[in-house]
Amino acid sequence: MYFPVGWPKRVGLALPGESASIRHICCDAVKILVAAVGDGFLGIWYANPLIPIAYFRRTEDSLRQYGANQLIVWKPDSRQLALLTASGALLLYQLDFDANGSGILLQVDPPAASLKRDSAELFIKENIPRLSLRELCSVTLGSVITTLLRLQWSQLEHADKELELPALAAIKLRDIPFYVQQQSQQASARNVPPLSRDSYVASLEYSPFIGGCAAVFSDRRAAFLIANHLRFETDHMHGFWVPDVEDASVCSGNHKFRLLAYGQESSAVNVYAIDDATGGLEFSHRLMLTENVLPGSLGAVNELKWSPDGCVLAVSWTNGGLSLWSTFGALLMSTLSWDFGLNVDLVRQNPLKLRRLEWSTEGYQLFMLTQQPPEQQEKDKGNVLQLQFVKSALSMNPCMTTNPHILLQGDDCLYLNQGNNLELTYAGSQATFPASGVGSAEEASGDGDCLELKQSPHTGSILTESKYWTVLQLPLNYAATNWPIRYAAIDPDGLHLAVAGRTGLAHYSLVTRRWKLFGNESQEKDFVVSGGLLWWHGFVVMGCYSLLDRTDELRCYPADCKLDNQFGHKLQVRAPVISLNSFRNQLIVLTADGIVSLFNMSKKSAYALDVECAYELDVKSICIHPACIVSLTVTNLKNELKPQGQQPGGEQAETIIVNVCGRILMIQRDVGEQVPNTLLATCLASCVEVFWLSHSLERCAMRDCLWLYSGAHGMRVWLPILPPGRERREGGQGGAQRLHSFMSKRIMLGFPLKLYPLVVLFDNVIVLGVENESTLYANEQGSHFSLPFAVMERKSQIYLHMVLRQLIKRNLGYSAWEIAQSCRSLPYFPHALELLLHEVLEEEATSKQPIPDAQLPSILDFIREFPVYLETIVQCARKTEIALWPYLFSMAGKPKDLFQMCLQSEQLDTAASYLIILQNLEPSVVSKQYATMLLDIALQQRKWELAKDLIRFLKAIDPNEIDSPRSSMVVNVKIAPPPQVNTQQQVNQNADAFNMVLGPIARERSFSTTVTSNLPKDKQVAGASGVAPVTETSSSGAPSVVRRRSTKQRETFCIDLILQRHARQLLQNHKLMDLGYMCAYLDFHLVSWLSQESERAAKLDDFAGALQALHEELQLPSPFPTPVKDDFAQLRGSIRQTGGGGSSQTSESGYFSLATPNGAATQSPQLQPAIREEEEELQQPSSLPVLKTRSGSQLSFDNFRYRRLYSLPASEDDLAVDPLPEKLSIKLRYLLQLFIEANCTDYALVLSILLQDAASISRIVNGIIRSESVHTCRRTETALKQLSQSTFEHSGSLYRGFVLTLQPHVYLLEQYIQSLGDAACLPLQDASPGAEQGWTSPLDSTDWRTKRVNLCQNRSRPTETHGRWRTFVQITSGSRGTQVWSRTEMQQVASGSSAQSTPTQRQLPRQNSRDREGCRLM
Amino acid sequence: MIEIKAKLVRADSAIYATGERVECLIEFTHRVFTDEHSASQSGNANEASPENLAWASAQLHCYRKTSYSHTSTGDRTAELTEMVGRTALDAVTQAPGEVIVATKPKILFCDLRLQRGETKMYFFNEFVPRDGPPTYRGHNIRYFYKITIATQRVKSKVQTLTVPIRVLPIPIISRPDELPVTVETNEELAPTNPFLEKREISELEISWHHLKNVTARRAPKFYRISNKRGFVGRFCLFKPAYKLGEDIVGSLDFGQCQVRCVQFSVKLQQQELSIRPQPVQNQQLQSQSSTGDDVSSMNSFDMASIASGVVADNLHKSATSGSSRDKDAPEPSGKLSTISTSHQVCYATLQTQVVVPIPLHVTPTFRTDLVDVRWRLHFEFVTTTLMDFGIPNPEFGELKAPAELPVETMVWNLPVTIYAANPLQIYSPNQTFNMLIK
Repeated sequence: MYFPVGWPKRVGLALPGESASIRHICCDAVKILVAAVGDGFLGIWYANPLIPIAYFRRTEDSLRQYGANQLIVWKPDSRQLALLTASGALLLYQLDFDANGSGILLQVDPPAASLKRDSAELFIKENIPRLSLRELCSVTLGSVITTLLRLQWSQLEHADKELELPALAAIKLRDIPFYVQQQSQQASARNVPPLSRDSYVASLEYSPFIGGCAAVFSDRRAAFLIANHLRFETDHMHGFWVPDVEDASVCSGNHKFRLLAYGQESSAVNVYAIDDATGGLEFSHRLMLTENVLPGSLGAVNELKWSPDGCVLAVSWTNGGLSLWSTFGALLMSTLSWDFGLNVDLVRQNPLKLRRLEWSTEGYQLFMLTQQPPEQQEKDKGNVLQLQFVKSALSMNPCMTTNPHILLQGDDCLYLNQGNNLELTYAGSQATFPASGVGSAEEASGDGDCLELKQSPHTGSILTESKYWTVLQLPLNYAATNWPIRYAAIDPDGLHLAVAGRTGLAHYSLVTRRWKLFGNESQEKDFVVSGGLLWWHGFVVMGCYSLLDRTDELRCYPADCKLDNQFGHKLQVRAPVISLNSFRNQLIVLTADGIVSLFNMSKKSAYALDVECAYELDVKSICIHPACIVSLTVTNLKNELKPQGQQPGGEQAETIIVNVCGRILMIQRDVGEQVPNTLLATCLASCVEVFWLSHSLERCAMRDCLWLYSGAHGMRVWLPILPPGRERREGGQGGAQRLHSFMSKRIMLGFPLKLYPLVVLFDNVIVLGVENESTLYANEQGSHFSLPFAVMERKSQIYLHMVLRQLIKRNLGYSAWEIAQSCRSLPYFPHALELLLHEVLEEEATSKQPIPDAQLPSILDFIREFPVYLETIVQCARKTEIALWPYLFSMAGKPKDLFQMCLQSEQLDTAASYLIILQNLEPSVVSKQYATMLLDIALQQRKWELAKDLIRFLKAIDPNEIDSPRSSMVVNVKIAPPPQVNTQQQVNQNADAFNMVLGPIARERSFSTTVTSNLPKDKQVAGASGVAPVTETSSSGAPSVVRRRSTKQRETFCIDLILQRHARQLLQNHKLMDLGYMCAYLDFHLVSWLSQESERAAKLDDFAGALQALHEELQLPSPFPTPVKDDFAQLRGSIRQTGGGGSSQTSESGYFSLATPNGAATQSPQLQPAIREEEEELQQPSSLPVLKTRSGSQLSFDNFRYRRLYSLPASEDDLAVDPLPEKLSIKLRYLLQLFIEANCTDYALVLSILLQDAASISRIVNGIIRSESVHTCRRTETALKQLSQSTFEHSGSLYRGFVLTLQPHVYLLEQYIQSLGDAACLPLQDASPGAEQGWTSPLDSTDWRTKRVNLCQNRSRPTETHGRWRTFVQITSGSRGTQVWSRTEMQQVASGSSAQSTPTQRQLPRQNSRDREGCRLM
Repeated sequence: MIEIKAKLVRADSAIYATGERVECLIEFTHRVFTDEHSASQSGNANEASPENLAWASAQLHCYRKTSYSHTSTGDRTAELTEMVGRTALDAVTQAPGEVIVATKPKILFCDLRLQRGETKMYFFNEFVPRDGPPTYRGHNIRYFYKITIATQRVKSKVQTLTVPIRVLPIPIISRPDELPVTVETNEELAPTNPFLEKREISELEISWHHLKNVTARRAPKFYRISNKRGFVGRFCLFKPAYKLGEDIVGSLDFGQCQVRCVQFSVKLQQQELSIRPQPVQNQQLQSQSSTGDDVSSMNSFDMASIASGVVADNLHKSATSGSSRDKDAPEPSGKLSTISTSHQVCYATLQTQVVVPIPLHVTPTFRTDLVDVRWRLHFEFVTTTLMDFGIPNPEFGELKAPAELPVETMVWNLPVTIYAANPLQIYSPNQTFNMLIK
């Protein structure tokens, strides 16, 4: 749980003003002083702040005689140092404390005020001792020594000043350890295979708790030396060869966990534990870096160092690199996975090639000696790096496992990360407020603002782990004298923090953001916190040693009071506190004399509490030394869980759980006994670093579990297995005799974790941890700052699926189901299921051997219990290799069936995912068939996005593959030319649009060339090539790949058919909006299709009905509401009011056709250069020339402007009606444009009416007239009349006023029909039957009123006469007629009023007035 | 008795960016307490059973409290109070200070009738005004936001419940040409089809994106630090603009120094410069004389966007040295408060780093018409010319550190800009606010 922060600092430890390479660094036992040796000198430094105290430089003679310095070792009492030289001499130095000086390097400010320091932190409070260094003596060791020798003075010092020397198990080697006056030589007789004559100890480390030494010999053999007696006499010593380690290079011992680590040449590290029973070695785990590393590129392990608290092991390799491992082998950090930038080749030249490592105070810093290539050595002056670390508060204070916050401690600051991971609930936070019991919430929110709820701009990234660290710096007054932080604690609510440094204590409130320190500084200096620090109901509870009384105590200080001893509570204990923990109101304390005491705490008042000892328990029998107890707690967790309600005295904890050197022991209380019995201790697990207990949970069903983390062995949970709920309930009712049968058991489940867990959020089935990442700040070559900058990132990992899997594996599906059920509300629950499936699948499908008992079926059965089953399977499949799919689907069912199930349950998106699978597992035909099926449904359900993807999918299926069975050949679909059909057509369509806009430019030519042939040809195309209309035209452009293309076209054609069919349906049901969406999303070329359909589906018979249907679709109020009786008078009134406008109406439309040529060009969205248009015309002269030529002048009136300028009579009515919402009207307008382009006048009219756009109606009418199709004119006229008819039938209609304004158009049409009849029918009268004439003429001659009645009575008449009109159209369409008409229109426009002698013109005003009359009468 | 409870939806961080939406759940409960219950039973039970509230409204206010004399800003306050007068409840009386921004009050209900034990919950949401100041608690001026929930019983006085929120400023984009940055450019053809609705990008989103751009790491700047005795070291700051919660990371290289730096401290300081209402000319003069190159613009966030656009000049001469304090300071330093400190004894250090954390609870750089809050790094380098121990290093034998070391201190200020962070990433759990109406 150590994490590096920032760049390593580079420090120069050479003599002042010089630069030299440092050979070795060693901290003294209390890590206050640092000794650094260079080739010819020794320097003593104060550790923090890093300030030199004294140097000693050896004489030239000495250097010549003994060689350069190699190693330095401190005596445990820090008074003497032993220095080993290259030629094997030991030099002894004495360090004397110089009491008469006040200190060294006191900084003295100059007299000038401006140059004085003024910040408090710049005045160093640390009292750096004045020390002097002198050489005591030098001893040349035996002749053979050219060795690295690691010496340890044993801890015991006897009265006779004789210091025990470590057992040096060198056979036949006169290896002479040496101290002060006495020199002793030992050679131990060994019962192991003899060492070769010239082998020596290469590495040696002694650990008192292990009771022996780890040793590595020069022949690369590793040994473990034990002495039966602490004196380490040869006679009492024996050694073990470490099995399987034949290439050991270094070794190191962990006192607290009693581990021995042997580094090997093979770059691995083997870690052994001591077997308590035999005293022998027991293989624990192996550390091997595999990630980001080429095998064999690391080189041998050249340094191993356990951190002072035994929580991490630092490992470095000869070829460079540093890594940190937790006690039981979880990789915490490795510089080889750091990002060094592109320029650095880690294999060849690792910038972090380290020779020596040394932990500094409390493990917050790691000194690293780099091995620099000779050319750099001069330039960089200084090869000492100091890497800063922060560590989890758990490492010193294991009682912090009970809180849900990540708390890390640096040497003078705390890093805090709070908040449970479930911020996801607030994603799109508007959805989170409860749908309040009353419906008034919506009401309230809707009130006042109709703004849409916008998501805050980053909700998508809410589950990212990049939540900021809250960095709390220790207050200067405390940190200056009490550096560094030793213990840190946070309360479960995350509101209070407490830290303890070298002495005293300070605490912080996150609410007020204030530190509280002792008011009386001497009280602060009077005690040292030891053993732990915790929060209990607003009190800080700690074990401490009082320097004043020289006693060990438990102290409690209330958080709310001033920090002062008068508010504190003291309780003396017999021995130093080693560890403490609390459970509810109980405090458990382990003291150094091996006694566990349990205290009951009770709150007397807000500021006072009572602590009473409940019992004491001797635990010496279960551990070698109390210091080996890593952590302990008291809990009510029981091995056997009794049914609810049967627990006697629920609050009272019954069980003590102890972690002794990684072994979890549970000490239970016997029934009827008050005190737990250590003899009843049971070992639950070994290799445990941290453990958690889950007591009461809100959400998750995994209650009363013990969670263990054991490094490389992963996480384990000790889970109670409850009987199924039904039985449990029966058991509750069933009475006493059944109760015993329901005592449930527990089960231990293990699962791997990718990160180091610091916090387990049981409710969220997630573990939180911190990972070491790195960023690169600078990339200057060779600069120190081009090293990666280490940062910490909070990470989380979900473990639900792993627990489920283990349970299912053990046929405990019911428990699994129960747990899963309780977690269903979690946002990542489906993800967890997916992971569950994925892991099992990967494992079983890739296994080489046949699996006797495959787990996949039961997993699938389990997932089937949840509604996300189909989705889970497909998501999982899509994330695994295709090779595994057959296995998956052989168990999960055929993809086809699953696909069908998706369709049945209407999970279209999931079904679409299955298509990918089908495509890979089935012949293309099948997947195509299914895709088509899905496309149909998607279209019906208006899933446009999905439909778009499906079309893409369908088009991407290689047509050649359809016939052949599935092959792995990848045919590049992109090579095949894109379906030019559509693009070509689209261009043309656009050209039409341009023509409408820019009509006048090409007017002449289009008249002469196209008009005559136009309509027949159009029809011919539509009629003859209904299958694939435009393929012929475009095929000339593509020279090659004909076959491919044709199939390709068949493909697209197939899709087109579906789309067309659907579009037709939509059109027939008047679902124009859907049609709009469809063509927008699916690239469906509506205009071209519509122009084909203009005579079929796009034809409207019942205008009023269509309007009504549209209103329904758009959720507008009905256009024809049920009539209200007394509306008549009102209606009359309104008509009278608007009466005046009628006469100006016709002239307005005329005016507009004059005024727009300028305006239209600017307003049209499809403005294009005019030349373009000509080209298009040359290419395709067929479609709609009449509209093209003329309509430009009338295009794009703005409805609003129109109304505003001319105050249409309709506007008054409009005001009463809600105007269309803006977005909707834009859409409608767009559709209108499309319909006009496609010459679908019927729908265009309906839409114009819906939009109440008189200008567009007049445009359409003009267009119809110019189309010279009497039939169309007739239809339109009838339709308009019919509309006005139904409008007036329903008196409350919206369009009442608007329809009135349409009457001039109706009249115009009539006139035109009549004029056509006059102009065209006369010469043809003989040829054509009289019926047409008979049909038209009565209309002309009859009075307006009668005609209207007539129409109303025979509403269906136009349709009946359909066929006849068509022939008429063909007859009358001639260029002459058009020209005549257009001229008249022009004249009419110019003059405005009827001064001309054309019959049409003359009749106009009269008709107008008549019109008005008619309206009134209606 | 009616209990009103208000709880912000965003329970884990009661912090909002300007332009974000505050969502608050307001609960009205007719609470029956046992004693009251018995009392009402003994007395007239029918009278006590349903409770009635005439109306309730909720509104978001921003208040300002200054220690400046009000005479100069009199007309402005008058104008503001006028605006307040239009609201339904007199918010000025609710909190000390003037209301400077007030949203339109929203009526939660009229004539609410609650049966015994019945609870009704209302959802209040409101945009935090885009142009308001951030929550700021300075020396002379304070800005704070509160949601005021007011309700009234028939024939009783108005009762109010206030819920404080913290507001972070998201700078308004002053340069619209940065806008296209956020628009996804995968659609090569601009869809004119109204049926293809593009996701609307809110202004806040754009601003947030802009802010991320501004605070991205680019253009490291190097500063050579020297005093009159020689070169001390080289400092590099990797970016000039930071978000709350980030660490200000700089590198310090003491290699090849001529003057030994014994220790240094870097402080993150907040400067509160009050802008006294002055005649226009003076104000202009003042803004020109101050360091910021574009302080005259109302939006101080311009500064960062301009600075970020500057290509790194390789070396910036640090103008400041130890003697700078002798000169009369031309720029007003305002009220300073030190937020965090990074201190290192660097006697033996060759290369090191400066990491100054920016706490999440501070107010980012902002400027209003009354106050200008800026941030700077305040460096103090303690140097000594004594590269060795004052005596030549011995050829052999012991060398002891001297008892004293003459030092000089030099000071240097480097402005940085601090922006708001994502409010959701700041953990500050809020509690429920409640009130009882008897």
